[in-house]
Amino acid sequence: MVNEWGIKSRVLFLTLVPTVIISLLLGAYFTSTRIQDLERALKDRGYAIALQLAPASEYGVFSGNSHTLQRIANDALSEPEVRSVSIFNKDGRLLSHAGHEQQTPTTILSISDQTHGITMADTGHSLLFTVPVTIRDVILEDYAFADSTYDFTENHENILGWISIELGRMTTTIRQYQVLFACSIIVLIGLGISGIFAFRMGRDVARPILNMAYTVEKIKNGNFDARVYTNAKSELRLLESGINTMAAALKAAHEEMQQSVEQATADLRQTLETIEIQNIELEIARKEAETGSRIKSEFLANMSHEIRTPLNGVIGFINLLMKTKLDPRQKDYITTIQKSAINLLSIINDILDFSKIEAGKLSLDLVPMDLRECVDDALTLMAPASHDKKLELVPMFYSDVPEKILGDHLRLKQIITNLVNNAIKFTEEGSVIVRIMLEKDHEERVMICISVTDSGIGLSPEEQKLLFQAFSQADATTTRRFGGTGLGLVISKRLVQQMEGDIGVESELGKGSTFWFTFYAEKEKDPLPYAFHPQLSELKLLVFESHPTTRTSLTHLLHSWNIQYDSVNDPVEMNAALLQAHQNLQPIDIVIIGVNQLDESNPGITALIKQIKVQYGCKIIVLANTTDQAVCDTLHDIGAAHFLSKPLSRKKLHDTLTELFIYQRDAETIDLTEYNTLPSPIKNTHAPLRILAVDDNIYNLKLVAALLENLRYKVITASSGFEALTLLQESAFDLILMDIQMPGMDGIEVTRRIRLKESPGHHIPIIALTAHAMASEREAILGAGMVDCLTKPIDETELGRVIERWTGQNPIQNEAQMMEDNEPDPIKQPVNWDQALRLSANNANLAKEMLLGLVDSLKGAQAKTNQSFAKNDMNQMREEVHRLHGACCYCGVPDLKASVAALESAIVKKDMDLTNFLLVEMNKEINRLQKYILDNPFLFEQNAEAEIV
Amino acid sequence: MSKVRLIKILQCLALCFYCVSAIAHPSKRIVLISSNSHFGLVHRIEALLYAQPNIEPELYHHVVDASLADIDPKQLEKADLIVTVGTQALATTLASETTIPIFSILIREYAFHQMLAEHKRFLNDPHAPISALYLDHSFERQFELIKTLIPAKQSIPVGVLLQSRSTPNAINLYQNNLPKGITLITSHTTAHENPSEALEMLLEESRVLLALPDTTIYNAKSARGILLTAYHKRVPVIAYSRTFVNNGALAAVYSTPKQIADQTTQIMATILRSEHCTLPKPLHPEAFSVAINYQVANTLGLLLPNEIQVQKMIQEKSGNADALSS
Repeated sequence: MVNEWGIKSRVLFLTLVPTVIISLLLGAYFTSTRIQDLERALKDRGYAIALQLAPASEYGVFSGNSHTLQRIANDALSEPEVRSVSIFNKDGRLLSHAGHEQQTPTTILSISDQTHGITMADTGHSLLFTVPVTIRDVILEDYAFADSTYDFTENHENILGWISIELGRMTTTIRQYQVLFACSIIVLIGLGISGIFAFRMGRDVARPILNMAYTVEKIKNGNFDARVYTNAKSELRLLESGINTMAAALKAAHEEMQQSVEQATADLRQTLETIEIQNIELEIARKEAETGSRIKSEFLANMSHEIRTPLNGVIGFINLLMKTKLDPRQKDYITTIQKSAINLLSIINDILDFSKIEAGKLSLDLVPMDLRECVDDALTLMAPASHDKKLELVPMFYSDVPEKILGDHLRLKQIITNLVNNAIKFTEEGSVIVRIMLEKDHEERVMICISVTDSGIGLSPEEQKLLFQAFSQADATTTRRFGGTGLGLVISKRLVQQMEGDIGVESELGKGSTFWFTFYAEKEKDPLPYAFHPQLSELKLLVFESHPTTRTSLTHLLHSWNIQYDSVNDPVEMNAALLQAHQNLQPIDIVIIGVNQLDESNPGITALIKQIKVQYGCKIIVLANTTDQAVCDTLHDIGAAHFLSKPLSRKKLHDTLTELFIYQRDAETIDLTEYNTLPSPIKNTHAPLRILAVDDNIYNLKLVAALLENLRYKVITASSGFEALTLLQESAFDLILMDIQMPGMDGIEVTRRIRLKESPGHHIPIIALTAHAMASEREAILGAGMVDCLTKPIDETELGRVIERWTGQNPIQNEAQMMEDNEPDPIKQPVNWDQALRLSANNANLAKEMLLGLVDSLKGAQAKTNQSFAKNDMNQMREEVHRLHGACCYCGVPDLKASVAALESAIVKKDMDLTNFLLVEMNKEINRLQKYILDNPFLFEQNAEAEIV
Repeated sequence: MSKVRLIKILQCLALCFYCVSAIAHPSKRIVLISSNSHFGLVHRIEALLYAQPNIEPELYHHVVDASLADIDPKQLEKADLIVTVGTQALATTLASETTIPIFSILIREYAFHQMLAEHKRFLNDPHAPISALYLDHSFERQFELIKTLIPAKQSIPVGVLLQSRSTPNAINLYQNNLPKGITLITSHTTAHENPSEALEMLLEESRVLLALPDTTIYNAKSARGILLTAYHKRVPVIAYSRTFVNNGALAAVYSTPKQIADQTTQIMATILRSEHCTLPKPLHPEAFSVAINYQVANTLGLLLPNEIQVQKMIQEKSGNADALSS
């Protein structure tokens, strides 16, 4: 704290403190000395009086002369401090007393013995001196020992009596106070004087310094003309002159610096102008570069579009051409052209994807999906390639993995396809195993790991480092040997990263590789478990599969459906198992025989099938690594009940087993074909749909028209948006296929105009035809009012499926197609009777009742939902939609359920645009269902039960 | 130094005289017993004694304390006369129960008689003769002094404080015929009480207080009080020694050592010259001096002549011119 004091305070402090201390010490010392002196003087006086009184009283005490003693005592009282004098004889009898009444003191602070036998007692208020009155010896004889023998002294002691003198302290105390007061006054005066001097000294020092500090502050603030003028002496004068000199020097330096700054500023300004000009030039250059880049991007997009458009045409027409009658050579050429075109399309797609990813325009969908179906689809897609190389392609779906998740199934499929494709590409023999595992399980999210293990050529550590880099393959020669752009893994990596996952490879050269990736997916709320037929548990199965992984995958599925099964890995064991079952009167219902190839390499299979069929009468399902229809036919001829191609799809296996074991067992009551195609009465109830196809590319338009006509729809084409609008004004259409990118007016604008003229809930389904596969584009398309999206090149089957979905009318297959397709897919109807029956435990009446109940409640639910949306009451809307969702879950209305679930999800996400769109979708689905119920009243009559079941 | 040399010469002469006289007369053996304090007196006696014509004493001087054990018994047995100097010497000698004639000097009368009583000796005992030269002066001389100092037309009331042990003195006092102009007033006190009360009463009536050498009354402790009391009553005290006078008494008659030694030598010579060493009766000193405390006199308002004059006046009155000349 002292360090923060100013000079003045310090001077005051340093001057006053020693002065105060010394003054106080001296004052205290002298005061105490003086007080002690006074005290001592009092005692000395008392002592002296006592000493004087003692001999004076000798005679009085000796003679007992009270008068004399009284006089002595009275004389003693004349001393100012003496309060009383008492004289006693040696026996203590009071001989004389003078002064105030002396009483025996009650408190004696101290008693001290002095010389001459004087005792001093301090009572606080007074000092009490007691002195003995003695008589001094007197020599009487001239000659020593003249009378020594008879010198009797026993009765003549020296002490004759006592004198007690009381000295009051009052006078001394008053004097002591006077001394104290005087001393205090002197000390205070001294302190005051020294304080004044110290103050003056501090001021004399501090004032010039403050003056200097003020001047320095002014100099610091730029006032270089400020000078110090104090009358200080000695050092302060030196300091003053130093500051003044410094100010002068600073002024000179400042002026010099000012000039330099001005010069520098002028230079800088010139430089800045130059830089400004350069900046402007650079800005212009940057804008030009950006424009160039944008133009390039647009060019790339346009190019891809332009390339894909004719390529779509090529592929489409190849497909059409392949359905015509061709001689073998022509068919071979066409097949080659088709493969080349598809490869080319794949390469273009990869480049497009990569360019979009690079541009950061890739966004992922978040829609409910079935992971197993996604994997199955991807593997089914890759099955032909694996079949060609005789590879076992096995999915291993771990039981703890949630199947229903929210994610982008297209992109997942793309990644899996990519990895599996690579695995197949670099594997000559053996197997490719796809494992789907749960990595982490959080409350709302899961991390799933999918690995693809092959028994291929493997990768060296150096090659592994090059993976996942654009335009690179493990071996430069690989490209030539195996083909490919080298973009697949890079695209996969980017996609995986966008899914918050990771991708990697574990490999050893010559021993195969395991590519794996992880991704985060949200769990679907309240997912329905995969519903398998409960009667399957009565089934007794024997599995013969020599490939252990495929066998495990198969038995895993069977186990999950509670099927009783036994598995063997060679024919001998199989025979033994069959024989034992036969003997135990527990015959095997179905034998599943898994083989890699059904060719010359496996001659025993044919015989084995025949033997089992004849000997044990079991139904036989053959799993083979082929899709060759001829093989299927052959097996059928031999006696196999069913043929399934590898990799095994869960759905296909379930359906096959259900059909073979349950439906065929109850053949007299069930017509499976009828069931699967229900409701057949609608087949001829509708005239062919009128479909408007809009595309600026004449070839594409022609291809679409050809495809639609092939599907027996009536097609009207329009080559521009304007033409389409004109046609719409002239006549009505059941559905519109709309190209997005068109000159003049694009598909989105045309759709918007069409929707403006429509009343809500009664609009024409418009399906977009686009080369863009990105999710964001899909959202934009749906947001414009289109109901679905088809990606070019247009697949005929997909086209048919989409049209069926939005019109409720299945396409009528052409003959050739009917011939090829032995087991046509069930027609997509608003009501899935199979599912309805399953959900009602095969109680048809219950299923109907529940469906009718749902239909009855639909109108009210629809109205409330629309009203709450109009009021923007999202909570109410969510409640209504949730209620409807719950009702849909048990009635076999998958489309309505899906649309309601999507709508609920959109409401939860508060995505108003999507909610709007999905509300329209839900309305359409409700209309569709109501229309279906109205169109098929007979289904709900009492006697129609048998038909349904 | 010259005095010492003179003494030595005298001693030699005495020795020569002794040797000569021994041949003529059988020499008498004298044992001088003194305490340690009286060498001067003893030496003077010896010197004077040897100076006496026709006497050739055989002198032995012994300094004693409590007993005579250190003295050769043979020497003591052969002694013709024992001279004790002081009270202590006499007490020691009497304790030895010797029958040799004893002559005691430098002793108060009351003390001498006290010791005789204690040792069951008698003054006129032919078997063990004993006598003394008292240190006290006679009452007559003291009364003369009083009369000299206190001029009075009427009889002077002289107060004397007595105590039981002072009886011999009192007897002497009463036995003496009082001179004219002197009225004796006595007061008795005991050894166990403060004499002040008796003194107060005595002083009330006395003009002069005559102090008798009795230590039970006048001792070192009481003397001051008695003096103060007396002077408070403005009564002068007539003492018995010069020291007493110096300490506050008005005046006294006393003997100097020289006077005592001279008289002692005379008496001893007389004894030695006697055939059987016959002792005289106890006697008072003949020669005397007068001591006066002029300060006291001044305080008491007495205008006194000087001591010599007083002495002469007393001598004249008593007609003792010899004493003055000596």
